[in-house]
Amino acid sequence: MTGKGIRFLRGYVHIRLISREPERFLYLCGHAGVELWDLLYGEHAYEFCLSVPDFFRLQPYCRKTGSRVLILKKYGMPFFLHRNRKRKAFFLGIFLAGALLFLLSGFIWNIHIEGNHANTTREILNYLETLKIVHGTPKSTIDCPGLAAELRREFPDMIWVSAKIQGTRLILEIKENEDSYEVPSGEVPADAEAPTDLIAAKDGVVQSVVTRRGTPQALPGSEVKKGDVLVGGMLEITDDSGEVASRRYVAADADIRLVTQEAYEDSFRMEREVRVYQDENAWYPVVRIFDWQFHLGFFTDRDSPQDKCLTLSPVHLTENFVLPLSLGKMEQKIYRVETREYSEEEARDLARQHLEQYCEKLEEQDIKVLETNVETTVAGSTCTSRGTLTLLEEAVAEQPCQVVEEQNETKETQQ
Amino acid sequence: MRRKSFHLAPRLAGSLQIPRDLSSREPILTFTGKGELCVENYRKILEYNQHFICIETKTYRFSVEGRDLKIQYYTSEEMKIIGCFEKVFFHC
Repeated sequence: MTGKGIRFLRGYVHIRLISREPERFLYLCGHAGVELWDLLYGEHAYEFCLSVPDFFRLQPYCRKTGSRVLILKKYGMPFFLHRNRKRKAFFLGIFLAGALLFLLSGFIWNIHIEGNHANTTREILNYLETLKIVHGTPKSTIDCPGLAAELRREFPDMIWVSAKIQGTRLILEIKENEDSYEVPSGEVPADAEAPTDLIAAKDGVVQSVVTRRGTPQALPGSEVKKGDVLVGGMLEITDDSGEVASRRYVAADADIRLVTQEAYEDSFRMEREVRVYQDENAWYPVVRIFDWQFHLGFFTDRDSPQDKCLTLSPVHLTENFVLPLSLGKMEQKIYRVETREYSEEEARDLARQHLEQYCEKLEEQDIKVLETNVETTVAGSTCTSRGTLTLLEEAVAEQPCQVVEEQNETKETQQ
Repeated sequence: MRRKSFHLAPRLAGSLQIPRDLSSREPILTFTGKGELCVENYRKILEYNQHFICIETKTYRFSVEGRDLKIQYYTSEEMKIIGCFEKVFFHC
Protein backbone atom coordinates (compact mmCIF):
# COMPACT_ATOMS: atom_id res chain seq x y z
CA MET A 1 0.00 0.00 0.00
CA THR A 2 1.29 3.49 -0.75
CA GLY A 3 2.17 6.06 1.91
CA LYS A 4 -0.95 8.04 1.11
CA GLY A 5 -3.12 4.96 1.58
CA ILE A 6 -1.59 4.18 4.96
CA ARG A 7 -2.02 7.79 6.06
CA PHE A 8 -5.66 7.69 5.02
CA LEU A 9 -6.26 4.46 6.94
CA ARG A 10 -4.56 5.78 10.07
CA GLY A 11 -6.15 9.21 9.78
CA TYR A 12 -4.40 12.58 9.81
CA VAL A 13 -5.09 16.22 10.61
CA HIS A 14 -4.24 19.44 8.84
CA ILE A 15 -3.24 21.96 11.50
CA ARG A 16 -2.09 25.55 11.80
CA LEU A 17 0.76 26.36 14.16
CA ILE A 18 0.75 29.76 15.82
CA SER A 19 4.02 30.07 17.64
CA ARG A 20 6.68 32.50 18.86
CA GLU A 21 9.39 29.99 18.02
CA PRO A 22 8.16 27.89 15.13
CA GLU A 23 11.67 26.75 14.14
CA ARG A 24 12.25 25.38 17.63
CA PHE A 25 8.90 23.64 17.52
CA LEU A 26 9.84 22.00 14.23
CA TYR A 27 13.23 21.02 15.61
CA LEU A 28 11.61 19.38 18.63
CA CYS A 29 9.16 17.56 16.37
CA GLY A 30 11.96 16.31 14.14
CA HIS A 31 14.01 15.25 17.14
CA ALA A 32 11.07 13.31 18.59
CA GLY A 33 10.42 11.54 15.28
CA VAL A 34 7.13 13.27 14.56
CA GLU A 35 6.58 13.09 10.83
CA LEU A 36 5.19 16.23 9.20
CA TRP A 37 4.24 16.76 5.60
CA ASP A 38 2.94 19.51 3.36
CA LEU A 39 4.62 22.10 5.58
CA LEU A 40 3.72 25.54 4.27
CA TYR A 41 4.23 29.05 5.53
CA GLY A 42 1.17 31.23 5.10
CA GLU A 43 -0.64 34.05 6.88
CA HIS A 44 2.17 34.43 9.47
CA ALA A 45 1.72 30.86 10.57
CA TYR A 46 2.82 27.40 9.59
CA GLU A 47 0.36 24.87 8.29
CA PHE A 48 1.13 21.20 8.01
CA CYS A 49 -0.32 17.70 8.26
CA LEU A 50 0.51 15.00 10.75
CA SER A 51 -0.97 11.70 11.83
CA VAL A 52 -3.47 11.46 14.66
CA PRO A 53 -1.14 9.60 17.08
CA ASP A 54 1.58 12.20 16.44
CA PHE A 55 -0.90 15.01 17.02
CA PHE A 56 -1.44 13.81 20.59
CA ARG A 57 2.32 13.95 21.21
CA LEU A 58 2.53 17.66 20.40
CA GLN A 59 1.36 19.00 23.77
CA PRO A 60 4.79 19.15 25.55
CA TYR A 61 6.40 20.85 22.54
CA CYS A 62 3.60 23.41 22.39
CA ARG A 63 4.12 24.15 26.05
CA LYS A 64 7.90 24.51 25.65
CA THR A 65 7.67 26.85 22.68
CA GLY A 66 4.51 28.70 23.67
CA SER A 67 2.68 27.49 20.56
CA ARG A 68 -0.94 26.91 19.81
CA VAL A 69 -2.24 24.49 17.23
CA LEU A 70 -5.50 24.83 15.41
CA ILE A 71 -7.07 21.91 13.60
CA LEU A 72 -8.15 23.04 10.15
CA LYS A 73 -9.41 19.74 8.78
CA LYS A 74 -9.51 16.07 9.62
CA TYR A 75 -8.89 13.39 7.03
CA GLY A 76 -8.87 9.62 6.94
CA MET A 77 -10.78 6.49 7.75
CA PRO A 78 -11.18 6.96 11.56
CA PHE A 79 -12.90 10.32 11.03
CA PHE A 80 -14.97 8.96 8.16
CA LEU A 81 -16.19 6.06 10.27
CA HIS A 82 -16.89 8.38 13.18
CA ARG A 83 -18.93 10.70 10.98
CA ASN A 84 -20.96 7.78 9.64
CA ARG A 85 -21.29 5.87 12.89
CA LYS A 86 -25.07 6.11 12.85
CA ARG A 87 -25.45 4.70 9.34
CA LYS A 88 -25.82 1.05 10.27
CA ALA A 89 -26.80 -0.07 6.77
CA PHE A 90 -23.55 1.35 5.45
CA PHE A 91 -21.46 -0.75 7.82
CA LEU A 92 -23.67 -3.73 7.17
CA GLY A 93 -23.03 -3.24 3.44
CA ILE A 94 -19.26 -3.13 3.99
CA PHE A 95 -19.46 -6.27 6.09
CA LEU A 96 -21.65 -8.06 3.54
CA ALA A 97 -19.37 -7.01 0.69
CA GLY A 98 -16.38 -8.40 2.56
CA ALA A 99 -18.24 -11.60 3.38
CA LEU A 100 -19.38 -11.97 -0.23
CA LEU A 101 -15.85 -11.42 -1.47
CA PHE A 102 -14.56 -14.04 0.93
CA LEU A 103 -17.30 -16.47 -0.06
CA LEU A 104 -16.87 -15.98 -3.80
CA SER A 105 -13.10 -16.30 -3.61
CA GLY A 106 -13.67 -19.99 -2.89
CA PHE A 107 -14.94 -20.65 -6.43
CA ILE A 108 -13.39 -20.82 -9.86
CA TRP A 109 -14.39 -17.79 -11.95
CA ASN A 110 -11.96 -18.03 -14.82
CA ILE A 111 -10.76 -21.08 -16.72
CA HIS A 112 -7.68 -20.20 -18.74
CA ILE A 113 -6.40 -22.68 -21.31
CA GLU A 114 -3.16 -22.13 -23.17
CA GLY A 115 -0.96 -24.14 -25.52
CA ASN A 116 -3.82 -25.94 -27.29
CA HIS A 117 -3.83 -25.94 -31.09
CA ALA A 118 -5.32 -29.23 -32.28
CA ASN A 119 -8.00 -29.30 -29.56
CA THR A 120 -10.08 -26.16 -29.39
CA THR A 121 -10.80 -24.34 -26.17
CA ARG A 122 -14.49 -25.07 -26.62
CA GLU A 123 -13.83 -28.83 -26.89
CA ILE A 124 -11.77 -28.79 -23.70
CA LEU A 125 -14.36 -26.68 -21.88
CA ASN A 126 -17.09 -29.12 -22.96
CA TYR A 127 -15.06 -32.00 -21.61
CA LEU A 128 -14.47 -30.15 -18.34
CA GLU A 129 -18.23 -29.69 -18.15
CA THR A 130 -18.68 -33.46 -18.23
CA LEU A 131 -16.28 -33.61 -15.26
CA LYS A 132 -18.51 -31.01 -13.54
CA ILE A 133 -15.80 -28.37 -13.70
CA VAL A 134 -17.42 -25.16 -14.86
CA HIS A 135 -17.26 -21.50 -13.92
CA GLY A 136 -18.55 -21.32 -10.37
CA THR A 137 -17.26 -24.72 -9.25
CA PRO A 138 -15.87 -24.67 -5.68
CA LYS A 139 -12.09 -24.72 -5.67
CA SER A 140 -12.01 -27.41 -3.00
CA THR A 141 -13.69 -29.93 -5.32
CA ILE A 142 -11.03 -29.69 -8.02
CA ASP A 143 -8.22 -32.19 -7.95
CA CYS A 144 -5.56 -30.67 -10.20
CA PRO A 145 -3.32 -33.76 -10.70
CA GLY A 146 -6.42 -35.88 -11.33
CA LEU A 147 -7.76 -33.34 -13.80
CA ALA A 148 -4.46 -33.29 -15.71
CA ALA A 149 -4.51 -37.10 -15.90
CA GLU A 150 -8.14 -37.10 -17.10
CA LEU A 151 -7.31 -34.61 -19.83
CA ARG A 152 -4.35 -36.67 -21.02
CA ARG A 153 -6.56 -39.76 -21.09
CA GLU A 154 -9.35 -38.04 -23.02
CA PHE A 155 -7.07 -36.24 -25.50
CA PRO A 156 -4.26 -38.66 -26.49
CA ASP A 157 -2.39 -36.02 -28.48
CA MET A 158 -1.78 -34.01 -25.29
CA ILE A 159 1.66 -35.06 -24.15
CA TRP A 160 1.85 -32.77 -21.13
CA VAL A 161 -0.87 -31.07 -19.09
CA SER A 162 -0.46 -28.84 -16.07
CA ALA A 163 -3.49 -27.81 -14.03
CA LYS A 164 -3.14 -25.25 -11.28
CA ILE A 165 -5.36 -22.88 -9.35
CA GLN A 166 -4.21 -19.31 -8.91
CA GLY A 167 -6.63 -17.17 -6.95
CA THR A 168 -9.97 -17.82 -8.58
CA ARG A 169 -8.39 -18.94 -11.90
CA LEU A 170 -8.00 -22.49 -13.09
CA ILE A 171 -5.02 -22.47 -15.43
CA LEU A 172 -4.53 -25.36 -17.82
CA GLU A 173 -1.21 -25.39 -19.64
CA ILE A 174 -1.15 -27.91 -22.44
CA LYS A 175 1.57 -29.24 -24.69
CA GLU A 176 0.37 -31.16 -27.72
CA ASN A 177 2.23 -33.66 -29.83
CA GLU A 178 2.61 -31.80 -33.09
CA ASP A 179 4.12 -34.73 -34.97
CA SER A 180 1.30 -37.18 -34.33
CA TYR A 181 -0.94 -38.28 -37.21
CA GLU A 182 -4.33 -39.55 -36.35
CA VAL A 183 -5.87 -42.09 -38.71
CA PRO A 184 -9.27 -40.62 -39.62
CA SER A 185 -12.21 -42.73 -38.61
CA GLY A 186 -13.34 -45.00 -41.43
CA GLU A 187 -9.87 -45.25 -42.95
CA VAL A 188 -8.56 -48.76 -42.57
CA PRO A 189 -4.84 -49.30 -42.23
CA ALA A 190 -3.30 -50.32 -45.55
CA ASP A 191 -2.18 -53.74 -44.32
CA ALA A 192 -5.75 -54.77 -43.66
CA GLU A 193 -6.95 -53.87 -47.15
CA ALA A 194 -7.71 -56.24 -50.02
CA PRO A 195 -5.24 -56.24 -52.92
CA THR A 196 -5.84 -53.32 -55.26
CA ASP A 197 -4.38 -51.69 -58.35
CA LEU A 198 -3.99 -47.98 -58.86
CA ILE A 199 -5.50 -46.86 -62.16
CA ALA A 200 -5.62 -43.52 -63.96
CA ALA A 201 -8.80 -41.58 -63.24
CA LYS A 202 -8.25 -39.30 -66.24
CA ASP A 203 -6.37 -39.20 -69.54
CA GLY A 204 -2.97 -37.61 -69.15
CA VAL A 205 0.79 -37.84 -69.08
CA VAL A 206 2.57 -39.35 -66.10
CA GLN A 207 4.84 -36.77 -64.53
CA SER A 208 6.19 -38.74 -61.57
CA VAL A 209 5.69 -42.08 -59.87
CA VAL A 210 6.88 -42.80 -56.34
CA THR A 211 5.88 -46.36 -55.50
CA ARG A 212 5.68 -47.53 -51.94
CA ARG A 213 3.92 -50.85 -52.53
CA GLY A 214 3.12 -52.68 -55.75
CA THR A 215 4.59 -52.92 -59.25
CA PRO A 216 4.80 -49.69 -61.27
CA GLN A 217 3.45 -50.17 -64.80
CA ALA A 218 3.70 -46.63 -66.12
CA LEU A 219 6.90 -44.64 -66.42
CA PRO A 220 7.24 -40.86 -66.14
CA GLY A 221 6.54 -39.27 -69.51
CA SER A 222 4.23 -42.01 -70.74
CA GLU A 223 0.72 -41.19 -71.91
CA VAL A 224 -2.08 -42.99 -70.12
CA LYS A 225 -5.79 -43.33 -70.77
CA LYS A 226 -8.49 -43.35 -68.16
CA GLY A 227 -8.62 -46.81 -66.57
CA ASP A 228 -5.01 -47.80 -67.38
CA VAL A 229 -3.25 -49.57 -64.53
CA LEU A 230 -0.47 -47.37 -63.18
CA VAL A 231 0.69 -49.45 -60.23
CA GLY A 232 -0.35 -53.10 -59.99
CA GLY A 233 -1.08 -54.81 -56.72
CA MET A 234 0.48 -58.07 -57.89
CA LEU A 235 4.11 -58.73 -56.95
CA GLU A 236 5.80 -61.44 -59.03
CA ILE A 237 8.59 -63.25 -57.25
CA THR A 238 11.01 -64.79 -59.72
CA ASP A 239 13.50 -67.55 -59.22
CA ASP A 240 17.14 -67.63 -60.36
CA SER A 241 16.16 -68.48 -63.94
CA GLY A 242 13.89 -65.45 -64.15
CA GLU A 243 10.63 -67.36 -64.13
CA VAL A 244 7.77 -66.49 -61.88
CA ALA A 245 8.01 -68.64 -58.80
CA SER A 246 5.07 -67.20 -56.90
CA ARG A 247 2.82 -64.16 -56.72
CA ARG A 248 1.89 -61.97 -53.80
CA TYR A 249 -0.93 -59.51 -53.76
CA VAL A 250 -0.86 -56.18 -51.94
CA ALA A 251 -2.84 -52.96 -51.87
CA ALA A 252 -0.86 -50.78 -54.27
CA ASP A 253 0.32 -47.53 -52.73
CA ALA A 254 2.11 -44.78 -54.65
CA ASP A 255 2.28 -41.05 -55.28
CA ILE A 256 1.48 -40.58 -58.95
CA ARG A 257 1.21 -37.15 -60.53
CA LEU A 258 -0.50 -36.83 -63.88
CA VAL A 259 -0.52 -33.86 -66.23
CA THR A 260 -4.12 -33.58 -67.41
CA GLN A 261 -6.21 -31.23 -69.50
CA GLU A 262 -9.53 -29.85 -68.29
CA ALA A 263 -12.06 -27.80 -70.18
CA TYR A 264 -13.06 -24.51 -68.59
CA GLU A 265 -16.18 -22.53 -69.36
CA ASP A 266 -17.73 -19.61 -67.53
CA SER A 267 -20.33 -17.12 -68.62
CA PHE A 268 -22.33 -14.37 -67.00
CA ARG A 269 -24.74 -11.68 -68.12
CA MET A 270 -23.49 -8.16 -68.70
CA GLU A 271 -26.49 -6.74 -66.90
CA ARG A 272 -26.63 -7.04 -63.17
CA GLU A 273 -28.78 -5.89 -60.33
CA VAL A 274 -27.08 -3.75 -57.74
CA ARG A 275 -28.40 -2.90 -54.30
CA VAL A 276 -27.76 0.73 -53.40
CA TYR A 277 -28.01 1.10 -49.64
CA GLN A 278 -29.03 4.25 -47.81
CA ASP A 279 -26.31 6.03 -45.88
CA GLU A 280 -28.26 6.30 -42.65
CA ASN A 281 -29.71 3.18 -41.14
CA ALA A 282 -32.24 2.81 -38.36
CA TRP A 283 -31.45 0.47 -35.48
CA TYR A 284 -32.65 -0.53 -32.06
CA PRO A 285 -31.06 -2.42 -29.18
CA VAL A 286 -31.61 -6.12 -28.65
CA VAL A 287 -31.05 -8.07 -25.45
CA ARG A 288 -30.86 -11.84 -25.39
CA ILE A 289 -31.16 -13.74 -22.12
CA PHE A 290 -30.80 -17.50 -22.47
CA ASP A 291 -33.00 -18.25 -25.52
CA TRP A 292 -35.30 -15.29 -25.08
CA GLN A 293 -34.65 -12.35 -27.32
CA PHE A 294 -36.02 -8.93 -26.38
CA HIS A 295 -36.31 -6.30 -29.10
CA LEU A 296 -36.26 -2.87 -27.48
CA GLY A 297 -37.77 -1.01 -30.42
CA PHE A 298 -39.22 -1.44 -33.91
CA PHE A 299 -38.79 -0.14 -37.45
CA THR A 300 -41.33 2.27 -38.88
CA ASP A 301 -40.57 1.48 -42.53
CA ARG A 302 -41.50 -2.13 -43.22
CA ASP A 303 -42.46 -1.94 -46.90
CA SER A 304 -39.22 -0.82 -48.55
CA PRO A 305 -36.80 -3.54 -49.68
CA GLN A 306 -34.43 -4.01 -46.82
CA ASP A 307 -31.85 -6.21 -45.14
CA LYS A 308 -32.00 -6.75 -41.43
CA CYS A 309 -28.75 -7.33 -39.65
CA LEU A 310 -28.71 -8.61 -36.08
CA THR A 311 -25.41 -8.28 -34.22
CA LEU A 312 -25.14 -9.85 -30.76
CA SER A 313 -22.12 -9.88 -28.49
CA PRO A 314 -22.15 -12.25 -25.53
CA VAL A 315 -21.18 -10.67 -22.22
CA HIS A 316 -17.99 -12.19 -20.79
CA LEU A 317 -17.43 -12.00 -17.07
CA THR A 318 -13.94 -13.39 -17.49
CA GLU A 319 -11.99 -14.74 -20.44
CA ASN A 320 -13.96 -17.97 -20.94
CA PHE A 321 -16.87 -17.31 -18.58
CA VAL A 322 -19.67 -16.32 -20.91
CA LEU A 323 -22.84 -15.15 -19.26
CA PRO A 324 -26.17 -16.21 -20.77
CA LEU A 325 -26.67 -12.59 -21.71
CA SER A 326 -25.99 -11.01 -25.08
CA LEU A 327 -26.28 -7.38 -26.04
CA GLY A 328 -26.52 -6.14 -29.56
CA LYS A 329 -28.49 -4.25 -32.12
CA MET A 330 -30.86 -4.89 -34.96
CA GLU A 331 -29.95 -2.77 -37.94
CA GLN A 332 -32.20 -2.03 -40.87
CA LYS A 333 -30.48 -1.45 -44.20
CA ILE A 334 -32.89 -0.06 -46.74
CA TYR A 335 -31.84 -0.31 -50.35
CA ARG A 336 -33.07 0.25 -53.88
CA VAL A 337 -32.33 -2.08 -56.74
CA GLU A 338 -30.63 -0.61 -59.81
CA THR A 339 -29.80 -2.37 -63.05
CA ARG A 340 -26.29 -1.67 -64.28
CA GLU A 341 -24.25 -3.02 -67.14
CA TYR A 342 -20.59 -4.02 -67.02
CA SER A 343 -18.23 -2.22 -69.36
CA GLU A 344 -16.14 -4.55 -71.51
CA GLU A 345 -13.08 -3.92 -69.36
CA GLU A 346 -15.03 -4.63 -66.14
CA ALA A 347 -16.45 -7.80 -67.66
CA ARG A 348 -12.97 -9.06 -68.63
CA ASP A 349 -11.70 -8.24 -65.13
CA LEU A 350 -14.59 -10.14 -63.60
CA ALA A 351 -14.00 -13.12 -65.90
CA ARG A 352 -10.34 -13.11 -64.86
CA GLN A 353 -11.37 -12.99 -61.20
CA HIS A 354 -13.69 -15.98 -61.73
CA LEU A 355 -10.83 -17.91 -63.33
CA GLU A 356 -8.46 -17.02 -60.46
CA GLN A 357 -11.08 -18.12 -57.92
CA TYR A 358 -11.51 -21.40 -59.77
CA CYS A 359 -7.73 -21.94 -59.83
CA GLU A 360 -7.52 -21.17 -56.09
CA LYS A 361 -10.24 -23.74 -55.47
CA LEU A 362 -8.22 -26.30 -57.43
CA GLU A 363 -5.08 -25.43 -55.45
CA GLU A 364 -7.01 -26.06 -52.24
CA GLN A 365 -7.72 -29.57 -53.57
CA ASP A 366 -3.95 -30.09 -54.07
CA ILE A 367 -4.25 -29.68 -57.85
CA LYS A 368 -1.58 -27.48 -59.36
CA VAL A 369 -2.52 -25.32 -62.35
CA LEU A 370 0.39 -25.45 -64.78
CA GLU A 371 -1.08 -23.46 -67.62
CA THR A 372 -4.28 -21.64 -68.49
CA ASN A 373 -5.39 -21.20 -72.06
CA VAL A 374 -8.68 -19.33 -71.71
CA GLU A 375 -10.16 -16.79 -74.07
CA THR A 376 -12.81 -14.27 -72.97
CA THR A 377 -15.32 -12.88 -75.44
CA VAL A 378 -18.04 -10.31 -74.93
CA ALA A 379 -20.92 -10.95 -77.29
CA GLY A 380 -24.17 -9.06 -76.87
CA SER A 381 -25.38 -9.30 -73.33
CA THR A 382 -23.17 -12.20 -72.30
CA CYS A 383 -19.51 -12.49 -71.38
CA THR A 384 -18.12 -15.98 -71.99
CA SER A 385 -14.75 -17.49 -71.06
CA ARG A 386 -13.72 -20.76 -72.72
CA GLY A 387 -10.51 -22.68 -72.82
CA THR A 388 -8.46 -25.44 -71.28
CA LEU A 389 -6.46 -25.72 -68.09
CA THR A 390 -3.35 -27.86 -67.83
CA LEU A 391 -3.30 -29.43 -64.38
CA LEU A 392 -0.87 -31.45 -62.34
CA GLU A 393 -2.86 -33.70 -60.09
CA GLU A 394 -3.00 -37.06 -58.44
CA ALA A 395 -5.75 -38.37 -60.70
CA VAL A 396 -5.69 -41.99 -59.62
CA ALA A 397 -8.32 -44.40 -58.41
CA GLU A 398 -8.24 -47.83 -56.85
CA GLN A 399 -9.70 -50.98 -58.34
CA PRO A 400 -9.60 -54.56 -57.04
CA CYS A 401 -6.59 -56.49 -58.21
CA GLN A 402 -7.20 -59.50 -60.47
CA VAL A 403 -5.96 -62.49 -58.51
CA VAL A 404 -4.56 -65.30 -60.68
CA GLU A 405 -4.83 -68.67 -59.01
CA GLU A 406 -1.53 -70.55 -59.04
CA GLN A 407 -2.92 -74.11 -59.54
CA ASN A 408 -5.12 -73.26 -62.54
CA GLU A 409 -2.25 -71.55 -64.18
CA THR A 410 -0.03 -74.64 -63.67
CA LYS A 411 -2.62 -76.89 -65.26
CA GLU A 412 -3.00 -74.61 -68.23
CA THR A 413 0.77 -74.75 -68.75
CA GLN A 414 0.77 -78.56 -68.67
CA GLN A 415 -2.00 -78.74 -71.26
CA MET B 1 45.86 14.56 22.32
CA ARG B 2 42.21 15.32 21.83
CA ARG B 3 42.94 17.42 18.77
CA LYS B 4 44.89 14.57 17.20
CA SER B 5 41.99 12.14 17.63
CA PHE B 6 39.66 14.68 16.04
CA HIS B 7 41.74 14.62 12.88
CA LEU B 8 42.27 10.91 13.06
CA ALA B 9 38.61 9.97 12.75
CA PRO B 10 37.98 11.32 9.24
CA ARG B 11 41.31 9.90 8.03
CA LEU B 12 40.43 6.50 9.46
CA ALA B 13 36.97 6.65 7.88
CA GLY B 14 38.54 7.63 4.57
CA SER B 15 40.99 4.76 4.65
CA LEU B 16 38.16 2.35 5.48
CA GLN B 17 36.14 3.86 2.61
CA ILE B 18 33.21 4.69 4.86
CA PRO B 19 30.98 7.30 3.23
CA ARG B 20 31.32 10.72 4.80
CA ASP B 21 27.61 11.07 5.43
CA LEU B 22 27.91 8.11 7.81
CA SER B 23 31.29 8.85 9.36
CA SER B 24 31.03 12.65 9.73
CA ARG B 25 27.27 13.14 9.31
CA GLU B 26 27.91 15.31 6.29
CA PRO B 27 24.63 16.46 4.79
CA ILE B 28 23.44 15.05 1.47
CA LEU B 29 21.66 17.51 -0.78
CA THR B 30 19.94 16.01 -3.79
CA PHE B 31 18.57 18.48 -6.32
CA THR B 32 16.14 17.31 -8.94
CA GLY B 33 15.89 20.08 -11.48
CA LYS B 34 15.37 23.47 -9.92
CA GLY B 35 12.17 22.61 -8.10
CA GLU B 36 12.98 19.75 -5.75
CA LEU B 37 15.60 19.36 -3.05
CA CYS B 38 16.02 16.41 -0.75
CA VAL B 39 18.09 17.06 2.38
CA GLU B 40 19.50 14.31 4.58
CA ASN B 41 21.57 14.58 7.76
CA TYR B 42 20.42 18.07 8.74
CA ARG B 43 20.10 19.41 12.23
CA LYS B 44 17.27 21.88 12.19
CA ILE B 45 15.40 24.54 10.31
CA LEU B 46 16.65 27.96 11.29
CA GLU B 47 14.22 29.99 9.26
CA TYR B 48 11.43 29.23 6.88
CA ASN B 49 8.94 31.19 4.85
CA GLN B 50 7.60 31.11 1.31
CA HIS B 51 10.68 32.79 -0.17
CA PHE B 52 13.49 31.66 2.04
CA ILE B 53 14.58 28.62 3.96
CA CYS B 54 17.72 28.28 6.04
CA ILE B 55 18.86 24.88 7.32
CA GLU B 56 21.62 24.03 9.73
CA THR B 57 23.69 20.92 9.33
CA LYS B 58 26.54 19.61 11.46
CA THR B 59 29.28 21.36 9.53
CA TYR B 60 27.62 24.37 7.88
CA ARG B 61 24.42 26.18 7.16
CA PHE B 62 22.84 26.61 3.80
CA SER B 63 19.88 28.58 2.56
CA VAL B 64 17.64 28.45 -0.47
CA GLU B 65 15.89 31.45 -1.95
CA GLY B 66 12.99 31.10 -4.30
CA ARG B 67 9.23 31.23 -4.72
CA ASP B 68 6.42 29.13 -3.24
CA LEU B 69 8.76 27.08 -1.10
CA LYS B 70 7.05 24.22 0.63
CA ILE B 71 8.31 21.37 2.79
CA GLN B 72 6.71 18.30 1.31
CA TYR B 73 7.70 16.09 4.23
CA TYR B 74 9.81 16.53 7.33
CA THR B 75 11.21 13.76 9.48
CA SER B 76 14.17 13.52 11.82
CA GLU B 77 16.31 12.03 9.03
CA GLU B 78 15.19 13.65 5.85
CA MET B 79 13.16 16.49 4.39
CA LYS B 80 12.07 17.41 0.91
CA ILE B 81 11.63 20.99 -0.22
CA ILE B 82 9.73 21.82 -3.35
CA GLY B 83 9.12 25.12 -5.07
CA CYS B 84 10.94 27.30 -7.56
CA PHE B 85 14.55 27.74 -6.44
CA GLU B 86 16.47 30.83 -7.45
CA LYS B 87 19.57 30.93 -5.26
CA VAL B 88 21.40 28.52 -2.98
CA PHE B 89 23.91 29.83 -0.41
CA PHE B 90 26.39 27.91 1.71
CA HIS B 91 27.49 29.65 4.94
CA CYS B 92 30.71 28.06 6.13
